[in-house]
Amino acid sequence: MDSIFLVDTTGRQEFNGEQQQKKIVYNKELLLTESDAHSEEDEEQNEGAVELFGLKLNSKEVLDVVNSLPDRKKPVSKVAKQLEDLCEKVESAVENSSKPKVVPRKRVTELNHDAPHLDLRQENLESNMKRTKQALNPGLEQAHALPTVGKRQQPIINRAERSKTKGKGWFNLPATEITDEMRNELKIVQMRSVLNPKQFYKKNDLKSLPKFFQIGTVLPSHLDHYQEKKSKKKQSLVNELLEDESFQKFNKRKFNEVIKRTDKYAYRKNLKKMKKLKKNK
Amino acid sequence: MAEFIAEMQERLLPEYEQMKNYSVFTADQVREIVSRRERLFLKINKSHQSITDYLDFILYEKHMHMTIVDKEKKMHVKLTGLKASIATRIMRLYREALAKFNHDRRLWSNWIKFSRKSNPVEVAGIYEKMLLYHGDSPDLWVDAALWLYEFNRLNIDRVKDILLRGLQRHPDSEALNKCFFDIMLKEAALASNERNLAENTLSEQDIKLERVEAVYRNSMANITQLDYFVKLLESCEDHQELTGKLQRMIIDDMQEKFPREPGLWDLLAQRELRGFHLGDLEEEDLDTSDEEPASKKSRSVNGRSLKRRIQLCVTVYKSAVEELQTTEMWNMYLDAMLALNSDGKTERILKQQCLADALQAGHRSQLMGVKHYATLRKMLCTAPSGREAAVTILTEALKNDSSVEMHELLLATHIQSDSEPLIYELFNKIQKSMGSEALPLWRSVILYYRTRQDSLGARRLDEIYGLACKAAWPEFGELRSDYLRYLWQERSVEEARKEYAKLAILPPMSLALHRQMVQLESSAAACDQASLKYWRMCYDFMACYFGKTQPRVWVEYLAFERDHGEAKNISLLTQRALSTLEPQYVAAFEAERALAYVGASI
Repeated sequence: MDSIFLVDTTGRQEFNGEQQQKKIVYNKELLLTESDAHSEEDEEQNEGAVELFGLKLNSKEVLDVVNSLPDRKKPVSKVAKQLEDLCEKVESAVENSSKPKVVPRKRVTELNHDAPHLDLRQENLESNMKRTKQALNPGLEQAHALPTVGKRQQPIINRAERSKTKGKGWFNLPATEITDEMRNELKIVQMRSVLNPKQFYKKNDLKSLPKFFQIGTVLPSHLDHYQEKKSKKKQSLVNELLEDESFQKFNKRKFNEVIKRTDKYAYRKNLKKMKKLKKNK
Repeated sequence: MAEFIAEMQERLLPEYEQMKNYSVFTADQVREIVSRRERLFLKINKSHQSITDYLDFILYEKHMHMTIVDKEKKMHVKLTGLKASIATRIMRLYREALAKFNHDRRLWSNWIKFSRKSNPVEVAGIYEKMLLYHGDSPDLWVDAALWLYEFNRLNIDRVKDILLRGLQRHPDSEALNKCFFDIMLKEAALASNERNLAENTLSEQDIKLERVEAVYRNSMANITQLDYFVKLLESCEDHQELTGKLQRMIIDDMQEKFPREPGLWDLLAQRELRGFHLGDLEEEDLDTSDEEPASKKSRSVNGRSLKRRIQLCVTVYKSAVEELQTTEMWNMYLDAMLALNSDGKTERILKQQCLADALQAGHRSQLMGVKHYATLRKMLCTAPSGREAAVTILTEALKNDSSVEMHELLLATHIQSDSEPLIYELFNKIQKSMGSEALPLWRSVILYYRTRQDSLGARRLDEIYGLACKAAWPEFGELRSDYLRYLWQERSVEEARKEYAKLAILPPMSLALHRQMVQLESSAAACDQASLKYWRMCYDFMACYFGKTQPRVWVEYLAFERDHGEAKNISLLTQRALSTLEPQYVAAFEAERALAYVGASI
């Protein structure tokens, strides 16, 4: 692009060199000089027509067309609207602060009651209405009658309902669903006496796996080290025993002892077997 | 816990004695006040507290204060001690509540609003404490700074401190940076521009302007929104004589950051129109370096005439559309020209010629929008031979933009010229190429042929309506309704019913079609058994196709049987409705039916 062509009536020619370094904004050929503007102004005041695509249009009719158009508002972005609100606030703050005043601290007797009161009861009422029967069960009006249970079915349903927990006396201990992982956990708890030879446990309450039980999780403390906190996640008794090195050693040692004891009597066991076979013949 | 409540009640004994001695309340009322306050104290001292307990107490004390103020006016006495103790208690309750529930922003804003008029000295401290908890919102920093500035303007250092701390947390917040810029600019405008020490030193105003520049430069590194810089320039325009250098810097940075943004060019052109020429800023720089007097500055700013400003504005827009060549830039250019022409008192010929040149160049660039072509068409139609030119121009424009609005403009031009073969040819092309988008064009052509009122119009109408009824798009349902109404009014009732029987089973289904037929049947003069049969058939179709999801259909059917049909069908229809509707719509149906039963609706 060309450089900026300034309308310089004083004729400062020595600044033409500096203009080359300025930012390029618009073209030189499109600018009109003052003298040309004056001459064109004299010409245009006489004629009352506007030329468009080779046609002469009446200026009054063009004005009617332009005024009949619907009002267009430029879409204002969110940031611009926010900054406009900020401008209004700054202007009002400046106007209100025209008199610098230092208010001394004094005892408050008059109060301002213009602030809206925070009423939470209305919100509670609206939330309660959402929990009504009609909102929770939309198909209630369609049914001809409420569902009923017969005299023989009711005890069966009651018994099934009662068997879900141990009862109020046991603080509603639930009958937890048993999965494979859960069964492994329960078996380990049942056979806990063989895990550690130095630890002695009492006899188990039940010979079979229990029906009512709960398994809790030890939550990490804030005083723990962060690595220790991580290691406590996703742990079960099976994983704990598999990862325990001392238990693995002990288990392998005991297993080898059993194998060795069994091998010692292998010859005698085979001999007995042969005698039995010979005796039958 | 009870001993605390007892102690607090004992502390209020002088207050109660004053109430009784001055006869503000009777003895029974004082006892009621004591028991009420005891209950409220109990609620705010129990183990499980909530905001509601504190708000109930605050509300009660506010009502008490209003009551005492009313008693003062009636009895013409001064009860300053009572009011002061109540006010102190309210403020203490607010502080206790906010110590326990500091996460609630509404409580903070409520207390600030309360304290602005009641205790304005404390509001600054409240803001400081609130910003500790809720400093993540930039608006709160702005509110705090504006309050400090408004309350005590001499405390500008504290305002700066708050704004700087806010900017530390939110460096890219437009509101904070704009607020900082505006406040610093207003401080610079108030400072004196005398050079007291020597000729080569800086004045107070220059120092403050350098600070404004520093604020701007810091914000420029973080913010990438064009609107932010536009607002900064608008703020600078209020102090044009001292922010020339700053405006120049802002414009240079905008051109560097947003070189191809249409908003920037639009801003420059609008500034030219408002009289802020870009060359004036350079002249100011030259004047400052040459130490010219201020009379030249005022001449250069205010001396430019409206004609010259319009020409400069148009020049900038022309450079912009040459540089960018986008639809958005052309829209801005033409919108500005139209806004300029809305005021026809001064320089009417020049403005209209600029608008005409802009429209001509826009058409040549093939980037003009449909609304500007509508303006161009209106302007051309004012000329005697403008319609042919408009048709030619719109035909050329259709090659670039084949949208529905452009076709509508061309169709409107043809309809104004009343050249029926061209309309029919264009309509054939439209209904072959475009799909359901061309519904407004169908409607225009149908309206044109109905206005003709001759045999050719009737034949064309039958053809067009036939095509519309065969169309598979759901939007053409209203054309079917229109066709039924046309047949009912222009032809005969039997033809309309026959056509309805065909259309009712033709996909896609439309509820408006049946409603239209219901309305036509209800408007019939003779009401015999055959009419009732056809009327009931409409409702049967509605219930059959839309009975699952539209409760209103059933209610209308029931209303028809109640008013015009047989009453014994109502219970059967109710059973059908309950069994057909999906569960979530049953309640709406029951409610509407109950209202219809008591006469509150339908």
